[in-house]
Amino acid sequence: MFSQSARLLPVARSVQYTAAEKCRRGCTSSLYITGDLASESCIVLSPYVNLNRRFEDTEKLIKNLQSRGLTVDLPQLKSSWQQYENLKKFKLQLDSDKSANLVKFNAAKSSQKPKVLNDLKAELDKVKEKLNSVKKELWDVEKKAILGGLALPNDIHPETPLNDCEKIVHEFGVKPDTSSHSPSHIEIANKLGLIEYYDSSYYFLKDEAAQFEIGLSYLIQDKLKEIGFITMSNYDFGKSLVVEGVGLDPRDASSVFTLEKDSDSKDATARLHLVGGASLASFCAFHTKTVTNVKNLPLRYVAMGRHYNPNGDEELHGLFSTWQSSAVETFVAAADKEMAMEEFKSCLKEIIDLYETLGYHFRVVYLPPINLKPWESLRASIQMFSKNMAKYIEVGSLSLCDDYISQRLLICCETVPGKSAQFAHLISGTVVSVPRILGCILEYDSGGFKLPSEVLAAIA
Amino acid sequence: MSIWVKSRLSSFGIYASCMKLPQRYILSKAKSLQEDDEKILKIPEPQLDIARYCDPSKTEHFNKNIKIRKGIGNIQRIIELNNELKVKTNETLRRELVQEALKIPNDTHPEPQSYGNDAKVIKHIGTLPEFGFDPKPFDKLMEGTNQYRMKELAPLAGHKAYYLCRELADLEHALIRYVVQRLVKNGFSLISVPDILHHQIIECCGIPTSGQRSIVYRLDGDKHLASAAEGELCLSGTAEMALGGFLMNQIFADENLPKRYVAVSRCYRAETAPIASERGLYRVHQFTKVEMFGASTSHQSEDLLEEFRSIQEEIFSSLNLYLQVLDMPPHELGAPAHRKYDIEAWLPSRREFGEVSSCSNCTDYQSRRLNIQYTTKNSSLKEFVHTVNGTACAIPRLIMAICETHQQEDGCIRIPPVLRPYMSQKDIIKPTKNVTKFVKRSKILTDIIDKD
Repeated sequence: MFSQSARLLPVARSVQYTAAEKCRRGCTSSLYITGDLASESCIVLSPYVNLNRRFEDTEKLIKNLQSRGLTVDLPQLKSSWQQYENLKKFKLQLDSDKSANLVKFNAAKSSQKPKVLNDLKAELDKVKEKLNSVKKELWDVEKKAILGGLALPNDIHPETPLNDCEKIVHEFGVKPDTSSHSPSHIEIANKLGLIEYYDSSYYFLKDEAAQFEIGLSYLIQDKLKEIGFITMSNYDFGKSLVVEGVGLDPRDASSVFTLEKDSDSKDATARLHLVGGASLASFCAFHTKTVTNVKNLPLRYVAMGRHYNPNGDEELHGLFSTWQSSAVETFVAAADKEMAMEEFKSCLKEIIDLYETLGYHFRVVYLPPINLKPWESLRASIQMFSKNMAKYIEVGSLSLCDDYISQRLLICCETVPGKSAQFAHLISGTVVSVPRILGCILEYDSGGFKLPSEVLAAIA
Repeated sequence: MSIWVKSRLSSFGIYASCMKLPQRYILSKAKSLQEDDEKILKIPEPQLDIARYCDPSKTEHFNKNIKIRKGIGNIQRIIELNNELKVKTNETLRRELVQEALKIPNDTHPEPQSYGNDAKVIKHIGTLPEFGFDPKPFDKLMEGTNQYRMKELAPLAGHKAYYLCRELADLEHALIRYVVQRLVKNGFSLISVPDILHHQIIECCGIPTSGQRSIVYRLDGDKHLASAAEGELCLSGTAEMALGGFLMNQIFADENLPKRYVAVSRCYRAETAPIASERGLYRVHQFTKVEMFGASTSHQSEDLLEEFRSIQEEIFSSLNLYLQVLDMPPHELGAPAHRKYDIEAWLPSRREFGEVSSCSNCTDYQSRRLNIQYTTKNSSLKEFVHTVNGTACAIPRLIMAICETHQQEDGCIRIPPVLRPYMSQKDIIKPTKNVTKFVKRSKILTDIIDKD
C-alpha cells in the first residue's frame, strides 16, 4: 500500500535565516530596541550596556575574541561607543536647554511682550530642531554601539585553558577498549528492542530505556534536592528577548526553535521560541528584571524536563544529537564573583560524586575558548566515551556565566533595598542530558542493557 | 476499503501539488546509520470504509449520527462521488471523496445517543469537602509566594506562562511518579515520546492542525522543515498523538492485544478562553501529562475503556478529591470518539466541578488513518485495532484541585498521604513569601547599579 517511490531523503531541515532577516541581520535586536523602532515595539527592558569597562583592557579583549574565533571590528566599535557617549551627553544638554527655554517662554507669555516672545520662540524652535537631528544621529550610532556591544562575548576566566586543548580536571574509571569495532548505540538498542529511532527529530524510547530516562532524572534531582537545591518546574517557551538575552541568536534556526508567527502580533522581533523547561533560557525568563536580597543568595535551582535544540552537529548521530532531550538542568545565582566561583567548584564536586555513584567511566574537562558559548567564561564538560565513535561525548556541563547574562536581562541582587544593588553572577549547567548518557551506556555494555540499581531504586 | 489500499502516490501525478491532502511524509533514518536499513516512516493513506458509507440502508444512520455530533460531514456527497467514480476513474474526484469521507465522525455508542445535549452523571466519588472558612481559589492561595508565579511573565515567556517552584514542583513530580509507578505495576509499557510531530500524524488522530481555530502550535515553516520540505512540524497537544504515531503501520496478533502504553509528556495547546472561570492555571498553553493509550481488538475496546476509567477513578479518589464522573453527550465527543467519559473534580472556591481528565474509545477511527491492524487466528483478513486513550494525570488541574480541596485556614495545603512517600514524607505545603521580586521599572535598578 505504500508508495513504491519511497526512498531515503536527505535530511536537511534547517533554514538559517529568512530573506527578510538576512537583510536586517546585525541591525536589529530583540533585546535592545533601537530608537527608530521604539514606536513599533513594546519595550520590555533596556539591557545594561557599558563598554567603558570592556575597553579598559583592549589587549585582553582582542585576545578573547581571537581565542574564541570571533571577528569584531574593535576600533570601529570603540569609536562608535565614544561617539554614542558624546552624543548622549550632548542630547542631555539639549534636553535641559529645551526645558530651560520652555520655562522662559512660558514666563514671557504672561508678560505679553510680542518681540521677546518671538525671540524666545525662535530660540526654542532652534533647540527643538537641533534635538531632532541629534536624536536621529543618536539612533544611527546607537545601532552600531549598543548592538555591537551586545555582540561581544563574555570575558574568559583565568582557569580556561588557553592553548586550544581541553584540560582534564577529573577522571573516573577506565576508558573502554576500542581495539575492536563496536556497534553504535542505535544498533544495540534496536537489537534489544529499546528504541524506535528515525532521525534526530523523531524517536521513541521503550520500556527499560524509557524507565531509565525518568528514573535517572529523578535520581539526580532527588540527590541535588537533598543537598539544598530548590526544585523548579519551568515553562518551555521563551520570547526572543530572553533567547537573545542569554546570548543565542533568536533568528538562527540552528540554535533555537521558533514557533509560527502569531498573526495578531505586530512586533516582528518578539517571537515565541520552544526552548524547554530544562534550559538556561527558561530559568532566565523567570529571573529577568528581578531583584533578590543578597541574604537569600546563593539560590541553587534544579529542574528536570525537556530541552529542545535544533542542533546541526553533523559529526554526531543517533541519541547524541536529538532535537528533544530529557535533561536535568541547574541554575545558581550568586552575589559576586567569589561566591560564584565557590558555588561552581562545590556544584561541580556534587555532580562528580553523582556520576561516580553510577559507576561508569567519565571525565571532566575544562573547554578551551574556541568551544565556549558567548556567555560562558569557563565551561566544565562532563564527558563519557562513545566506543563506536571512539571519542568523548559531552553528557553534561557546568558553566560560569559571571554577570554577562544578568546585565542583559537585569537579574539583580540588592544589599540595601532601594539603595545598593548589583548584577547577580550566574552558573548554568546541564547536570545530565539523558539521551546522550543513555547512548554512551548502551555502547559501554554493548552486550545488554541493565538499569543501574540506583536508577531502578528511584522509580520503584 | 480494498481499492483505496492499493492506490499509490505516484498515480496522484500533477494533482499532488494542488490538493492539500493526503500526501505522504517520509522521514529517513539518519544517513550515517545503516544506509540499507529499510526503516522509513511513512504516513499511510487513510483506509476508510467507503462501501459502508455508501450502503443505502445505512444513509439514515449516518445522517442521524452527523446531526447529533457537530453536524460536520456530508454523506450524500460521498455517495454522489462514489457513483461518479464507478463510471470513470478520476483522480481529482477520488481525492475529493477521501476528503469528504475523512470528515465523517465516528459512530456514537448507543447509550449517549439518548442523552440529548447534557452529559449524564454516572456517579459521585468521595465527599463534598466542608470548610469552617471561605476557601480561597488557587491563584489567591499561591500568587506572590515562593511556590508559584504567573504574573508579569507574558513578555518574557509568552501568554499565560507559569512556573511551579519548590513544594509545588515537588508536588508535580510526586504525582507523576505515583501515577507512572502505579500504571507500570498494572502492566502498562512506558514509552518516551517526541513532542514535535509532523502535522499529518496529528491529523491522523483526528485533530486539525490548520485553520483559525486550530489548537495546535506549529513551528515556523520558513525555519524548520520536516525532512526534505515535505510538510510542517507541530507541537504535540497530548501524548495520544505521538503514541498514535508510535503504533502507525504496526500489525499485531490478536493474542497480544490489548496493548497498554503510558507516556509522560509535555502538552502544548494554542487554545485560549477569555472567560473568567478559565483564568489563571485552569487553562494554560502547556503542561505535563501522564497519558494512557491502549490498542485492542474490536471486541475488547469497551472493556478497555471501562478499565481506563476505573484506573482514573482510583487514582483521583486516592488523592481524596470529590469527583463526578460524566458520560459525555454526542456533541461533546469530537470527531474521533465513540464514547467518552470525563472526570471532574470539585473546586471549592468556585463551588463547582472542573474537568481533570477524560478517556475515550476511538474504535477504528484513528487506526484506519494510522494503519494499525491485527491478525486473527480464524481469518486471513486483517482487522483494524481499536484505540482507547485516557488522562492518568494532568498536572495543573490536579494541583489546583488538590490545593483548593486540602487548604487550611492559614493557607497551608495538606498533602494527600499517597503522595507523601514521594515528598520526603512531608505532610504539609506552607507557602512562603517570594524572595525573588519582579521589578517593573528596571531603570531605577540600573541607576542604583551605575551609582555603585
